[in-house]
Amino acid sequence: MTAEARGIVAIIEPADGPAGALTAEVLGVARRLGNDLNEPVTAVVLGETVAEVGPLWEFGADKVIRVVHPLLAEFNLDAALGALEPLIRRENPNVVLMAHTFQGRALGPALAFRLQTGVATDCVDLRPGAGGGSLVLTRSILGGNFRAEVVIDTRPQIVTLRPKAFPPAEPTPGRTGTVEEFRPEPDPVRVRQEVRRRIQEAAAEGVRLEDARIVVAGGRGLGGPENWHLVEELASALGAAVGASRAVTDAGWVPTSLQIGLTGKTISPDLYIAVGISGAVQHMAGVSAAKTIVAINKDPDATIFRYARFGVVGDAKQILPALTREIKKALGKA
Amino acid sequence: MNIVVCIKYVPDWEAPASQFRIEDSRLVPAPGIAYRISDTDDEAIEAALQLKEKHGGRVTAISLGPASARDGLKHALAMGCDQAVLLDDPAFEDSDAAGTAAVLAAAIRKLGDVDLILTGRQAADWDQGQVHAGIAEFLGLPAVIPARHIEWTGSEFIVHRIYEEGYEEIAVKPPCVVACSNEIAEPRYPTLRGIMAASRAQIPVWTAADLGIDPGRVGRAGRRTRVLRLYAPQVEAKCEFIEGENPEEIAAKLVQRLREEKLL
Amino acid sequence: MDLPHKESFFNIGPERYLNYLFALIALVFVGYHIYRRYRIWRLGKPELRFDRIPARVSLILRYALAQLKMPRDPWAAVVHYGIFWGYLLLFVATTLDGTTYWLKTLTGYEVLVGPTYLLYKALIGNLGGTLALIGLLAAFYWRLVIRPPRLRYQTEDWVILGLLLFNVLNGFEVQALRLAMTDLRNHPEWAYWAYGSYPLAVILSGLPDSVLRPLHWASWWVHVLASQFAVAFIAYSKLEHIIFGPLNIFFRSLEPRGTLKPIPNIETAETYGANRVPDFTWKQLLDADACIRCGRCTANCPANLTGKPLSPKKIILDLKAEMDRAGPLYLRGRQPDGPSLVGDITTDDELWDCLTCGACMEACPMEIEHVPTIVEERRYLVLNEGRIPRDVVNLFNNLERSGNPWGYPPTTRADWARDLGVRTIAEDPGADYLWWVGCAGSYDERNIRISRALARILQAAGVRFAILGPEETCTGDPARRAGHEYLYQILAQQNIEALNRYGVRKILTACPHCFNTLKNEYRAFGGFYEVVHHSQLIAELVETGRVRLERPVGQRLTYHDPCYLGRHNGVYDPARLALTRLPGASLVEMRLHRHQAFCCGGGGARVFMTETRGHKRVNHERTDHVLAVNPNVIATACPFCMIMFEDALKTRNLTDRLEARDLAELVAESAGLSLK
Repeated sequence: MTAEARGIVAIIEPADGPAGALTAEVLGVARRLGNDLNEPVTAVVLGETVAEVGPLWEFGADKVIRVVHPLLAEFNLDAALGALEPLIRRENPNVVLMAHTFQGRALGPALAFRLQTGVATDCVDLRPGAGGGSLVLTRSILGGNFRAEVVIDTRPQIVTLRPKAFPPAEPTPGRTGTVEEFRPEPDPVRVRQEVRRRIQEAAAEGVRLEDARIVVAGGRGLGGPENWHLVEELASALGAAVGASRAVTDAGWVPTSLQIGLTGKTISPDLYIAVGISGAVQHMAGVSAAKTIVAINKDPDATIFRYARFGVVGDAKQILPALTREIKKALGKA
Repeated sequence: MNIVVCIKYVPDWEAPASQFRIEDSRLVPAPGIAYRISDTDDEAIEAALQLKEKHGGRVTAISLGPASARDGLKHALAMGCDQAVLLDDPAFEDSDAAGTAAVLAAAIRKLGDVDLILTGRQAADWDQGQVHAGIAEFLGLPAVIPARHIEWTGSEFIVHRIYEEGYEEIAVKPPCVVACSNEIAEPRYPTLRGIMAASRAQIPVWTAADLGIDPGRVGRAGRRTRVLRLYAPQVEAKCEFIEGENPEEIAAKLVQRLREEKLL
Repeated sequence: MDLPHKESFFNIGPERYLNYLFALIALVFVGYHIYRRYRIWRLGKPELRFDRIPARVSLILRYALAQLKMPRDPWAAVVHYGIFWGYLLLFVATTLDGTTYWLKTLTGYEVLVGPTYLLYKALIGNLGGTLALIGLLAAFYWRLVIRPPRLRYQTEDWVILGLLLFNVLNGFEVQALRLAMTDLRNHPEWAYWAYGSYPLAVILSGLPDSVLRPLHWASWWVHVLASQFAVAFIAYSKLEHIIFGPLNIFFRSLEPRGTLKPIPNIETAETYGANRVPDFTWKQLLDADACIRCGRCTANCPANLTGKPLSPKKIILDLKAEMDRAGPLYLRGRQPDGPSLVGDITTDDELWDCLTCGACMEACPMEIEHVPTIVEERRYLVLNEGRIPRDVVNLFNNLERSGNPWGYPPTTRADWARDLGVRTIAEDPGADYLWWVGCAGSYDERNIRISRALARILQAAGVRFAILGPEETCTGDPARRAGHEYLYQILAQQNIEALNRYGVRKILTACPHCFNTLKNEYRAFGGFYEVVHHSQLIAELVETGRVRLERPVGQRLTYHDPCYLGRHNGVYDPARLALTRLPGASLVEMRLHRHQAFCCGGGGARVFMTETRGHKRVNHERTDHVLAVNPNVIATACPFCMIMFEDALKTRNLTDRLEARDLAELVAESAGLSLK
């Protein structure tokens, strides 16, 4: 694949659906790039779960390719690679975009190596290179302390995008495009892994951490798992989702699915209340999109206060019950 | 069960940003900033050691230079790895993830007879999370990322792969590549016996010639990606501290301020 | 002969010599027991405890004979002084009696005659019996009515007390029977001197000889048998402390209390720390045999008193049980299997709870050295087994990587002093004092304020000092006390190398942990320094008028003795002296102060560990002690104490009524120096 590579391919996350937030973000980036580079935008949908393609057109896709195969019902890295390799070779795009989700983390690099091209993961910004050259991709490194601008010299340029880091596409109602089906034949010999079952740990009811408008997260400063209920009570009073720092999930106080940060989830709530979290860059990398941060910490020098809009220096064990009471009062739940 | 763990030896990523300076698109740590085995690579070592303790076999740690990575390999030996190999050659310098993966893959091929290749999920300096995929593709093996648990049933590995809502149980046959997440195991602190044995151990160095690698495929020459620029993002401090006589007063003031800001 | 005397073996025929056979049998039991235990001690590693004999004799006089620790518990004092001195006198009486008999039989010369005899009877025999009786009756009252919780109440304890009481009463009875048949009839004026048995003798004197004679004969033999039984019982009960106690006191460490010993040849050792009997030193094994199970160690242990599993007594008795179980097998050349001492019997949690504060050692009447044994077992956990709590792993990693417990960059170590014009020793090699700032004083925000106050005091007083700056690293104290001797030795060698390179002789430090390490523990690695704690220097500056205390600070102060300054190194007074010189301040003492001071909760690397066990946190308990005397300032002289108090005051919302302040801050403020 050389210089004639053309077009922007956006790989849609099946779990997110055609009108999901991630889809909007990825297609938003794709559409802008398509406009800037004057190249078509193709949305690639893995699996048969996505029946409706209208929203993809409205978000800016010129063409939708549905990749249909029984093994793609849920994400299987080998199957996805087997399906996408011939498709991408055929399409020969300039850029392949996907969200840096748990699927994207696995798929992006693997696809790049399969296609013998370069990849930039977890990008927080991108822009077209000068004179139509390679994209300039901004990545956060060393846990978020530094930024690097990198370019990919090979084609396609595979890019995974940090969730919440890019503005979602505004749908253009009535916008349409083409749709086609691609029926790959993933070589069964090369599908060497099998998803036996999926265990859902995140609270089935309640707000998804990634979508929550308010998130209350607890860290090591709570003292011990016996105090975790304080976080949950505050979250419940606020109708918020509960998250945790890595220190706490590593210590086994709460399931990993609550972990926020570089190796956990990226969230973008309007209000983020961090309780007993010191604010290591690796954690802050996951909340950089939060609009307002409230930090409650015993240590007045905790890094978190550098990011916080409001700070309370004090022991969470005393502040939280009082705060929960006040919130209930304020929201008329008392 | 023969396991290879690929480790990276990096400057202490928890050191504050002020302790690094940017020089020629590289991050240079201040003198006195320690190097350590990258985050999740040490957890991968621990996972390998636990599998070995349960099922027998040997654990080999490998790392791509520079020569200082020898200290990281010594630490891996002190933790209980059976052998370590340093991959160091001027031709490897400035490798990107593709070059690094190519060298590691060649070394694994040279080691031969491997059932499981473990890596960390992403190196703590560049946070890319690519090398495991590269190793898998170069060796034509399946890869699972990121894993929080691995068990061996006697014929296949059951890997618990993390996804947003929880985890998936993935069955995969050996040999395979698994990138470990931090939850997989708590890395052990080496015993003094281990430290002493490691300090006496010889760590062979394999060069490009030893691995039969074409120098044009690795290092600066083999790069697919380039770094244009490094910079430190600015964080502006603007924290408003809520104070009060007692928790009730603090809570009331905070709620009032949040309402004023239309956040509640 | 009508001088006062006594007919030896009165009413006892030639069978009298059986008495010596019984004594010999009893002594064989005791001797064999000592020999058996001696062989087990010899399984232990060597340790030099035969040096400085005069100092050791002095220990025996003070702690074995005078038992100077007894009065701390008045009931124990009455009981133990009574029984001990009583029985000692009775032993002397019996010995004198026997000696007199043999002297007379062999040479015809009689010693105990006349006034000597009467005094002997009154001041040795009867005084001994009376004292023992008082002690024993007090013991029964103490154990039955007062029932102190620290004691154990097992059959053996009652058997011993019963046996001793029986022997005393029986002894009086034998004497009374003899008096009734002899002195009372012939020389009643001699009989008064036996005031202990006299009343009974008067009562019995009405009985005819036909009753008295056989009764006396039988009682005499009962007395012999019961006494020799008691002697033999030494070998089978806690009475063994009569022998092992003084032995243990004699061999006590003469180092300052907190000093730990290096692992010799750490690079080539086969195993590290102690778990099996041969891993301990012979003195640590002797310690276990010297334990009388009085429970003073546990009753004074801050970890135990706040509900944690650690009991120093149990640590020692676990070792003793292991010696009993495994010792004989080792002696037969076998390798015992079965449960592991460390882990199965003494749990990891118990070992990690120790604050190394030394309250147990201070309380122990047998001078058992609990803390070095606990650290030795921690060494086993860390160096041999790698069973280390996560907090401690982080501590080790930070010390290894950054040379400080929190992992701050080494390059920023001297940043606290940037604007103060403090010079490094490289810049001022002729400084009088090398000020060892320590990690807390260099990096911890709260303790940086103390470092700055001290710097201003020194500058105002014209003391010429310099710091090491970024060349300083942790002394290694927390690593050592957490069991990581290897890391400690690396840090120590690094620091000693730096100090010696600058030819440092005199070191000033505000950290008692650094103080103890630099002063007492670096010697073993070639670091010999005169080390001064800042409380000592400040007291001197105040006394000599180089610092003038003018402004009133605080009103009611209490002073918390840091363990590693006070109990471990005997420095109690300088801080108090300086505090009493503060205008307008009065110093009140907490109930537990000076050598009995209660740890803040931060010693033994615990300041770097989360406190998860127990019903209360140690710093909260100590804060309650502070509150009990209602001061408005807790004065401290240790950065770890400061961290622990600050934490307690904040989490308990006490900051509006109580402040924790270092001596240096109070003095600087009173001297009108800037505290910024």
